[in-house]
Amino acid sequence: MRCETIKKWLSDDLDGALSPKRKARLDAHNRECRTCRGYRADLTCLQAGAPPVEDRSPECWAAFERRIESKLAFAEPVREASRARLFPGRRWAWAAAGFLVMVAVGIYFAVNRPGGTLGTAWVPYEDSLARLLQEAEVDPEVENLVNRELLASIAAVAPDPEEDYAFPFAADPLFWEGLSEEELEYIAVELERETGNGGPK
Amino acid sequence: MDERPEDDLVEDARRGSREAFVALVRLHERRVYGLVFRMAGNHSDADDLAQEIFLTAWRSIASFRRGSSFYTWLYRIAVNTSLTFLRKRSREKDRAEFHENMAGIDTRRDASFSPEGSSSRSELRARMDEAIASLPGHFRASFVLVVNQGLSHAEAAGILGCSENTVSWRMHKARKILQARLKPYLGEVRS
Amino acid sequence: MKKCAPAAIFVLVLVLGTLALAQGPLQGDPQARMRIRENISNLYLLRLTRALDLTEEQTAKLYPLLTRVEKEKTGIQRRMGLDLQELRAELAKARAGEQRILELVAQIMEARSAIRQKDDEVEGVLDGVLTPVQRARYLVFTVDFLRNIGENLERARGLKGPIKRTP
Repeated sequence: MRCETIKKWLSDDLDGALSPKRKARLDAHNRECRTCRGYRADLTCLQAGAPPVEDRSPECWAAFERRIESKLAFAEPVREASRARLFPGRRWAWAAAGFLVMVAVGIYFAVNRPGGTLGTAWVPYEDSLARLLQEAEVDPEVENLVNRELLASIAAVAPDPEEDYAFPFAADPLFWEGLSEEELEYIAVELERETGNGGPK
Repeated sequence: MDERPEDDLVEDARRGSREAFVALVRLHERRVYGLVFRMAGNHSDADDLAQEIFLTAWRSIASFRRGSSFYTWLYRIAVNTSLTFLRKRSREKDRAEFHENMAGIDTRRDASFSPEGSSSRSELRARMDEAIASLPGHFRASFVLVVNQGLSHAEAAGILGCSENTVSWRMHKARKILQARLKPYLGEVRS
Repeated sequence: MKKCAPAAIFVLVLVLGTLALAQGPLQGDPQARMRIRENISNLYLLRLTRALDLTEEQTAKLYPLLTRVEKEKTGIQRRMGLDLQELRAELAKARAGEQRILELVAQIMEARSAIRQKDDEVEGVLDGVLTPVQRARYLVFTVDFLRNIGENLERARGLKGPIKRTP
């Protein structure tokens, strides 16, 4: 059992979200693994150390409520009925027109789908992976975190040559996600036909 | 103090009763404030945010669906408002740091503070505030909802609009980051 | 290390992104996919029990476990498929959110690991119930069944011609 999985289970356990079966396996692993025991002790400290927000005085709360009350006078709630009145008696016509526009836009994009979008993922913009990499290039701490996470993910994706060497690729759960519905259907039909004929055992 | 059941207060507020809405504010102000304080990191911003959240809730009370949980709906507004605030603050901070860097001002934190020499537990608690405030927005929201507000993964997922699995992963990542950042202080507390 | 990070991200996104993007509109209805997968699972179980030539006692012990595990695996596979769909959608956006992408990748990897753990769970039970000859048949059956899947897939692609995929 990989320690990385155990650490995730430890987090779930603290939140009461771990199944009893996994808890038993977690406890068994921790009996043997000092690193994970240490990590659990750290998380327990963190949990105990997460300070509650100090309650403010009754005067503070009273002042807070007064401020809100005074602002409520100038902020009228939006009424549901008023929205419906916008297009009285023509709602169906507008809904149909909106639907046709959406279909037209959908057809336009389906026909003119740009080939490949991987390239656009590398254009630097505020929330992109590219920005994360730029930060990683100047901050060694960010770089280490990013690298560790991604290399661990890649190691999980790439098959272990010794473990998987003898096994066909269809043993990998990801293999099935690469098949179209048509291909799945064909496989199911062929299997059924072979099985009905006493099939390959 | 208005003693009516919450459902009645919500219904009256939907019909435009300000008194009913203020009663709802009194019921939920502490929890909402606790959440936004952890998100914003200081009382001044938390106060402004909490006001904004309740005003937003008042303006959009008509969109609240009868039969669903008012508290979940209110918390969703609170989380979204907080995340928007954090994104805006982050952009402003980047701009400010850029200008400060251009002016030759050192914006790095004072790294001279050491974990020894003060009560270990109180030091950890103080540093936890900073560490939680430094978590990325979505991780911070999950952590605050689950650890500070005591919600289950399912309840937090309902508020955040994601799956339980996602909340579980965010909690794991948040704890990993906090554990890495607070390691020197955790060692002191345990010894 | 600095050169590794972009390469590492590129490979990871390429592997999962290609898998995700290449499917496009060919993925079809998730419910229909789940039904077909359940059908394949049932055929697998039927063939397995034939191949192992189980006694009544062994069948009584193993069949409920095998059925339950296959059902659980199908459920996890379905969730993995939905996450992969969302990953595809996220990558196709002009502004893909890197946090969401990393979360989805982590969820997909966990699902993959969970399915493998289910197989380990089954093999652990089989070890205690099957005779040595039956264990050997189980192994051979598993390899042959999976190869059979591959051969059927090749036939499907040979008959229909190359399936047009999004580049």
